[in-house]
Amino acid sequence: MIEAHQLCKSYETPGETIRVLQDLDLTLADGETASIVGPSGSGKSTLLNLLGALDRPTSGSIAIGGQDISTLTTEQAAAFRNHQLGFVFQQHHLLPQLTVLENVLVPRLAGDWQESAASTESRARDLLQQVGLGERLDHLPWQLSGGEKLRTAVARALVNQPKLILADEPTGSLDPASTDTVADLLLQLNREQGVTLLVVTHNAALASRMSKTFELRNGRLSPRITAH
Amino acid sequence: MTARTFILRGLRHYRGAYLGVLLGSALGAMVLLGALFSGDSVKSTLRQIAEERTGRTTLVLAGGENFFRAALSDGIPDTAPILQLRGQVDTPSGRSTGQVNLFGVTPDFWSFSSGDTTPAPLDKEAWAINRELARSLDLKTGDTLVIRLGKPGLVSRDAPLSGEPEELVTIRGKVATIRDDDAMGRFGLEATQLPSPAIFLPLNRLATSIERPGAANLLLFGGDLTVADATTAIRSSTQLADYGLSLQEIPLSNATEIRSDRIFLPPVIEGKLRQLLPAARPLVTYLANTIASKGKETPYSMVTGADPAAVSFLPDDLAPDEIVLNSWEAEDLGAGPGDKVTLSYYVLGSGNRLDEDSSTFTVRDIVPLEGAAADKLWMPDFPGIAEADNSSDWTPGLPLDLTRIRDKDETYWDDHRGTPKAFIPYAAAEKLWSNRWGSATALRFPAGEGNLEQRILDVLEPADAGLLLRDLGAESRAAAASPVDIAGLFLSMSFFLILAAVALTAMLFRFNVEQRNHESGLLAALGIPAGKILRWRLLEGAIVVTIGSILGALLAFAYTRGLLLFLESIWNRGGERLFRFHAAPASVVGGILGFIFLMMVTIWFVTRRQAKRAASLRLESGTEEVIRPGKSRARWLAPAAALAGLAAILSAKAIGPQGAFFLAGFSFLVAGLALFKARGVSKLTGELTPARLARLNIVRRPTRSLVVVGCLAAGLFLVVSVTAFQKHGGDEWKERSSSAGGFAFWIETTTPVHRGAADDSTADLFKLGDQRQELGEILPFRVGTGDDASCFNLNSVTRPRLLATDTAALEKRGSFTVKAAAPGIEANWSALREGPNMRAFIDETTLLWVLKKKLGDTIDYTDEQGSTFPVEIAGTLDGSVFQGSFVVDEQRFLERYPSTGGYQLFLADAPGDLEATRALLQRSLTDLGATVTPTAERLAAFHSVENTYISIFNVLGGLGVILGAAGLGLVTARNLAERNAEFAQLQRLGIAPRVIRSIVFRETRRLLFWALGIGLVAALVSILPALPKGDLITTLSWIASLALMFLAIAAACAWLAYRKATPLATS
Repeated sequence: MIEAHQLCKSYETPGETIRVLQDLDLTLADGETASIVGPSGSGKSTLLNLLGALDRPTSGSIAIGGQDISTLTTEQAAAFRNHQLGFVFQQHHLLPQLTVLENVLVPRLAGDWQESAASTESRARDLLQQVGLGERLDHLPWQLSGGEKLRTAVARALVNQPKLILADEPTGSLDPASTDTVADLLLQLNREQGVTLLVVTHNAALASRMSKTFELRNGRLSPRITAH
Repeated sequence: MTARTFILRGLRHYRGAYLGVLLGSALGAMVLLGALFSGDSVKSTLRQIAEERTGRTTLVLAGGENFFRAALSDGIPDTAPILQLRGQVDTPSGRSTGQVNLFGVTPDFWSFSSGDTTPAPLDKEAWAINRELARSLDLKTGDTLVIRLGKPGLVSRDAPLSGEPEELVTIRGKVATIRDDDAMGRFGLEATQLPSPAIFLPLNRLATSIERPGAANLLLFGGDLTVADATTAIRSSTQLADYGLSLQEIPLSNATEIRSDRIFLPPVIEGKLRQLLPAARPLVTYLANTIASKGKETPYSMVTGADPAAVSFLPDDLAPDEIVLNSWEAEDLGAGPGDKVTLSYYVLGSGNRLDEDSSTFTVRDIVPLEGAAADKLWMPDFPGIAEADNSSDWTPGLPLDLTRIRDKDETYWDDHRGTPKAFIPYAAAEKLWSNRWGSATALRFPAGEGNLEQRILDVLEPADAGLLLRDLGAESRAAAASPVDIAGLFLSMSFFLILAAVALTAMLFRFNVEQRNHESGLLAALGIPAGKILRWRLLEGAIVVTIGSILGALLAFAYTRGLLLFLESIWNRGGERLFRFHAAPASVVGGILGFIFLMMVTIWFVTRRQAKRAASLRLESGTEEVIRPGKSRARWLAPAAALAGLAAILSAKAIGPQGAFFLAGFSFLVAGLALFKARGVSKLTGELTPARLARLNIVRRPTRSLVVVGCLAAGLFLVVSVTAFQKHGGDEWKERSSSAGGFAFWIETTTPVHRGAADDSTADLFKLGDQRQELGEILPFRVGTGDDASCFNLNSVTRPRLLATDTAALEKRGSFTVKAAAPGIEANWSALREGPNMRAFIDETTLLWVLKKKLGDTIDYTDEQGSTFPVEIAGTLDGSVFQGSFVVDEQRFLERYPSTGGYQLFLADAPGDLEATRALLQRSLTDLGATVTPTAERLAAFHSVENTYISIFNVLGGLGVILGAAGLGLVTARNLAERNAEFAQLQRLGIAPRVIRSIVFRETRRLLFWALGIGLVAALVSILPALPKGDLITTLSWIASLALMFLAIAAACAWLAYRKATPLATS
């Protein structure tokens, strides 16, 4: 699913060039789950942005599902994210003006979906039912708890039936019990829908529930052996 | 879930944030549309007034002082004759007003109304008046009126032998009806938005009162006649009387004469008739003051100049220096053939003065006083002479010493009337007595010419007699169609307010976008293209701005009424509304769309960069904060712009004062803002103190800081600099070089005043007698054709009124200052007497703003005979009492308008108490229907117009400054709200709220002082070179108070924002 080779990302500052990622390689098969851990500032979010086509590498290549995304134009990258990826963020980023159901349907706003609106909405309802929010479809974000917001964000990440979910500290703001619930949910989706799951996290417990764990240090990934 | 739902939900959710955008848009649209609606209202009012003023009239035949038969209209369908005169109107209650239009009309006149065509029930003593006269004299139906008017002469009262001047006629009547504006109440030929007082009375009543029964001087045409068609129609109906001509049989000479009721045959007519009748010979009979020979003299005798070959009793070879006396005269002088005889007579000198001149002739022959030599018909009907019973009753309008008349002269008059006592060749007489009205008093030709009248009529054109056909409909439509550009004026005056509203609204919008950066980032992460996100944001903005603009359009209806009310204060109509509100659909739609476009372009400009930023960055932070030390272009921009400003000031002469002022002001503003930016990013290193932290905070969001400082500085610059141009003064009128030329009074009379022989500037023109000494020099002006082009007239004036005077007298006196002259022309009054064209000086304001011409340009006028001639703009006078008029040389003027009789405008000195002299003049000049205005008051009136515009600008500019101050408050509030977490952190670090407050205050204070400094310096440097020294203290006081007001408003806004935005204020 993911094949990143010799990935480099650096930023120019007035004084120096900061190299965040250096010759990074990452390979992940379809349906696999993986976590990336590392100290703050090690480049975890940068890597996730590159894999999510939100940013471009300075050098190297990235292929997702066999498609080279490092050369995509802005428009192509947006279309790629819209159709192939699901994002889950620490801050959930639910839109306060939209209901729970509408928040899940936001990706459809890209406008080039082949599927009918009714089908997408039906799936969104199923997804929300699946994450336990079947009764809260018309609620606004401020009426939800932190865990419920995250579950809504997860449902939103799945509404386009992605092959890959990128999660950036998805449980960063949750208590341990809620963290377990979210982890269960993500893994359940992985099992039931065959979605590849890559999680960036500081949370060792969450990381340990993934089939692979990588540590990002000095701009490079090194695998950690995880016991299941 | 569709994009539409998404946008609507966004609008609803962020309605609080969008409220500011909505209000800002409403304000901007209101101001923009208000300016457009004001223009529409003025335009529409002028158009309506033009329609009311002219009614159905398309063409008009205007004779001025040349009358024609009212019956001329009988043969031409859809016409109405009018006798238009001017007079003074008094009421029994003691109220009076001058410059009243007196319209002698027939029932046909009312059919020209664009509204009520019912004829007014007029009779000899029942008249109609218009609303303006009713208003000014508080008249109602049944009230009594007394009209006093000057009786027009047969010939210009200036002409020799034109009769006694200043003959006043008084007629009395009652107000039968008051005609509304749309029922011909506003009828008039002048293109002005102000109604003139008018009385409508039966044509014959007015005509008989001036002893011209059946006379008219205007003929209105309805329908769609072209000028050519109308000319043909007129020519087919004219009679000799319409040209002022008559045929006189001279039986004793078996001849016929063509005479003019204007005494002298107009040269154009004489030329055409001599071509038509080759046998016709001109002759002139003139009054000799004295015929003298060998110590003896005969007073006041007629002498005829005739072609000797055509007069049977004169020797064919009578030489130019020879004279033939009749036997009575030869006996009186005791002169015979070979003796020298001297004739003394008056001729018209410069400045219209009558000079006595003389010529000596040799007696060639003596003819007996019998037959043709004794024919009384040699003398035309000179007014004041022909009808006199005795010589001693003569009133020819010449300064005669009638005591010189002897008994024998009376006897001669009784027996022979004006039979000439001497004959000279016409060629000699023509040289002696030709004047601007003509040379010959008759054309004489052998009797027996067939079909003579028709043949004469066939060769004459109405214009030959000064009857000019004007396309009044087209003229009035043109004047109303492109009036003073009120919309442009208000737009320019509102420019800054609109700019401030747009900038502020765009800033508020950007705040909203920034507030939703996380949302944008999320959408981007979910695969919504950045362009689409920007489009949604712009669509939300467009919806809010559209609603705001529509709201603004509704508010503009009330705002426009306020603007028009302010504008109307210029004319001081006692609360009467002058302008009718009108909003053209094109202005409503175009204004709203234009404003939306302007707003959307600005919003796009300020948000486009946000949308381009990487979605990842947006997800991580709310607003962008930029500090770019040491790389600012501002470093070189500041000195470059300052240099450009200085260059603009130095080249003020070349690019004009207005251009120099704006260019310099703009350059200094840019220089100041560049300096602000450069200073902001310099010295950012060093010890960390509250002051340095404040500076660092300012450059955290450089665009916000720059917008606020720029907005405030530009507003302050405009208000301060425009205020500095407020006109004061008029007090310096005593200075001869001043705008008043050292004259105390501007006097306009309804009845023309005629200058007697030998009258100079010390003459008693107003017949003040012993009280003449209360006035010093009096300089009379002839008032010619053209419209008032002063700032009081909103119509488009292409030909300003001509004021003709003795420019040599002005030059000698050293009055007024010629500010600039056209290339190759000397900046001196003498320049008006030179050159091939008629030259004029005009007030600089009129030239620049009304005529929009430059020095050296020419404007075409039509002379008395209908010929077009150019008037060259030779120079400008600085802010003079002549605003709205061309000042030309009298002699050059009279060459084109020889019939213009008398003077209707006077500038007068007053050595004593002004108020007392004014009262004396108003009392003494009542009969002339005079208005007496101190020149200082006239100048102040002009200044008040400019000051009203400046006041409007100040109110609008002041609103702009308040808006800028509100912007400062918003930025302060926004900055503080965004930094609440930062302040909390500082407090957690043990920094006292007092210190944090001081940092915040320093930030705001810094912005405020930069704005104040930039605005003030830019304004002062730009205006100082143009400031009159006398006004410096007043102006600087104004500026100081404005600066204080500015500081107070801006500081109050910032303080309110601070109180609202942060808990620091109460901690």
